[in-house]
Amino acid sequence: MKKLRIFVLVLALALVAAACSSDGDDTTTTTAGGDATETTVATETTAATETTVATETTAATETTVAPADLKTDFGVDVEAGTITVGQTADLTGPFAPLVAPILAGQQMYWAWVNGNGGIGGMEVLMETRDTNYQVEQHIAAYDEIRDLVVAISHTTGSPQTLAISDALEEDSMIAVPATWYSGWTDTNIAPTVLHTGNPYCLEAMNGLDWMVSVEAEEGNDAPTLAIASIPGDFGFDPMAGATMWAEINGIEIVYDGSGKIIPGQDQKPIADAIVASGADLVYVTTTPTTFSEVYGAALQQGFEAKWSGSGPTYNPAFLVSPIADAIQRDWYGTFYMQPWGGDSAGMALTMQLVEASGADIPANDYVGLGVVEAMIVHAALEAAYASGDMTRAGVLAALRTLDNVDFQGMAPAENYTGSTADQIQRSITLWRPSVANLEAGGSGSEIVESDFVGPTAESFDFQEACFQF
Amino acid sequence: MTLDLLVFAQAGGQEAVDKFANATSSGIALGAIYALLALGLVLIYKATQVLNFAHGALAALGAFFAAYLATVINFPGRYVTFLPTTVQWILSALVAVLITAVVGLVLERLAIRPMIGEPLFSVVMITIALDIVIRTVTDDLIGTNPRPLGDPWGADVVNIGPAVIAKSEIATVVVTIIALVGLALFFRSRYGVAMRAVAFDQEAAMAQGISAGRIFALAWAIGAGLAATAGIFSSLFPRSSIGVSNTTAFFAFRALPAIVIGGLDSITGAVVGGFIVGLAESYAGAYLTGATFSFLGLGFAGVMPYLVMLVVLLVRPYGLFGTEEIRRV
Repeated sequence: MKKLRIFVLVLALALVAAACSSDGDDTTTTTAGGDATETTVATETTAATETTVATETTAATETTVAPADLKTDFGVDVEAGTITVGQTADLTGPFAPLVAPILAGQQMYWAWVNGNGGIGGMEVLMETRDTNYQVEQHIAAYDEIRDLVVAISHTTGSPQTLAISDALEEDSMIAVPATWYSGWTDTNIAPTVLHTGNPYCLEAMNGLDWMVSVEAEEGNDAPTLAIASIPGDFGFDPMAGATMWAEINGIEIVYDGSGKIIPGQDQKPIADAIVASGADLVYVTTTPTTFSEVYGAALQQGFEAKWSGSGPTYNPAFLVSPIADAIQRDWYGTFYMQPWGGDSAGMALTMQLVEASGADIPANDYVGLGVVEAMIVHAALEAAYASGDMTRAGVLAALRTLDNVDFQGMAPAENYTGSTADQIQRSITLWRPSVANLEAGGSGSEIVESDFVGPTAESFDFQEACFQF
Repeated sequence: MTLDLLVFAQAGGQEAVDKFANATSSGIALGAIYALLALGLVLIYKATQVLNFAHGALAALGAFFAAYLATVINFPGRYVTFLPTTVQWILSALVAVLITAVVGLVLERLAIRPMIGEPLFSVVMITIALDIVIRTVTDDLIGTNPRPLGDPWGADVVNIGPAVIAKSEIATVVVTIIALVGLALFFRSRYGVAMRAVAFDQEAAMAQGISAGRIFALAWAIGAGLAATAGIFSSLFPRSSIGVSNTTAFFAFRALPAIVIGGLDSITGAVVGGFIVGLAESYAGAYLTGATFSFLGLGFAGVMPYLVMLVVLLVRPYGLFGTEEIRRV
């Protein structure tokens, strides 16, 4: 019996140790900007400071409001000189490979902001919770931090974000989603969740506009299309875009697998259907792992087509896997901003931050996305500070005055004012996978064109979300 | 049934033949992985009467070891550079299987052995706890990105008749056959006979001088090794083109219907059940989709093994090869 007790104790300790061993702990509060490294960042990037931050932000910084006069409620502690922003992030689930670099980007950016005087002299802290891409865990994570933060600078996943959208609205909490559901632009859906970048459905139109133009150059004027996705808004929104694109352009959809990719199941039937359809173009939205299963099973049968899909479907890890050669040939990538190493002042700042952080951060397109997410919240916080109201409602109100949040070329500028049609982002970056780029120290994404707007995406009358629940 | 399907396929012309051949080859390859997983589960169950819920976690751990050995430290390849790369990779995979077997041995000694004499339910709960611990540690070891295993077959395929088969799938089937032959030989060995004796009647075996504890440890070691083998081959093209990831561990649960169909305590049943589940899933995916079967909903292929399991249990409640249990009441 004594042995048993000792064993139970050891096992319990092991469980605790295992739970604490994760690199991305469930609960983390990060002070960004306090150490020597971060001070170095500030010193080295002084020049960039003046050119990189959005115009509104710079103006707001110059406005002097005595901290004591600030109106605050949650997440802003004037006495302690801190502002806390939250993240409900998938650090251990299927999108962890993309979310980890996003948070690294945010951390570096806030460190740089803090090193440059913070916001009104207050330093920005991060309060992060792991959601494992589970809706229930996401709701619980938000409940845990909702009274600790003034804004959510990152929330992973469409269904997860939608699940907390009512609570976000109730709290007047702005939230930047790492999801490009077109409903975030629709002002009737989740009014405090902020769109960033080209939404999934327009991304599909842009990607297909690009692929069809390449097909035409190769002499195929009547290509056919196969589409497939996982269920849920992450899958159905881009599928709605692809379907509308096909209708507008008179393209035949020879296989419609919308919602038929079920993670955890054998994906060969989906691949078989795509192969049997003989499609020239394939548009897929799913997790990177399930995409590799679908694509691998199609490749096994010698199937060749032009493949594309929503940004999170792709993972640079494909370039160091057995499908590397084929994916270089077949994948036509789209991304909501410039990939790693893009030619812009915003990306130059990101590169400087990475270098100065001294951290071992591999080249990854999602690091810049973290910086973009943080920049949006930064602009809102600066505007709120300038208005003297840093309550959550004050931050929301300030955000809704920003019609040109500029990312200095790293991503298309965003407008958070006006109607749904006014706010829609139509521009995207086109890129191709490249092992050579990866081997040269890049992220493996070779930019083909920045700020691309295809003819279908340009003329599409966007008045509401492409996919409604 | 297979003959009927073949006739059906031939009636549909070459396209139907290709479809049937590909569904069959894919089902066999998938079934081989399920068989490997089921073998490990049954072996541990036979010896200890415990269903090991940490089996998937051990599979992922084994796949990680293979990825690490083959692609990061090139062990033992760096010491045997004169050997072909395929052999070097096989050696890495073998070492990974051995390391995982040792992990299984240690787990049994630390976590399972102290529970001898305790209610089986408690032991099962311990395996669930082990699953959480091993999975968490393995996820940390893997990192956020999947790890390719660096296998020599890559995305290569061969055409065998109308079927297009990945070389890694052929390797999977070959390894499963080797594992089966190895197990058959093992059960004829001294330790194999001892294991059969312990499985048959633990007290009688102990009375004959057989160390039940040693047999339990051996069962866990072999079970973990088989789990690792399944983990490695389920992380190869085309099943998972980017290697072992933090979702690999969950794959093992798909083999549960296999052990129920075959019979929880039957080695033969595990293999037969594995192939039945693989083929059922593959045929359902190939034939029960499209507009005609849209009423079945999404992902019916994943449900099919459980339907087969229900039918089998209705006819044979102890599985196809399971031992019928008779109780006096």
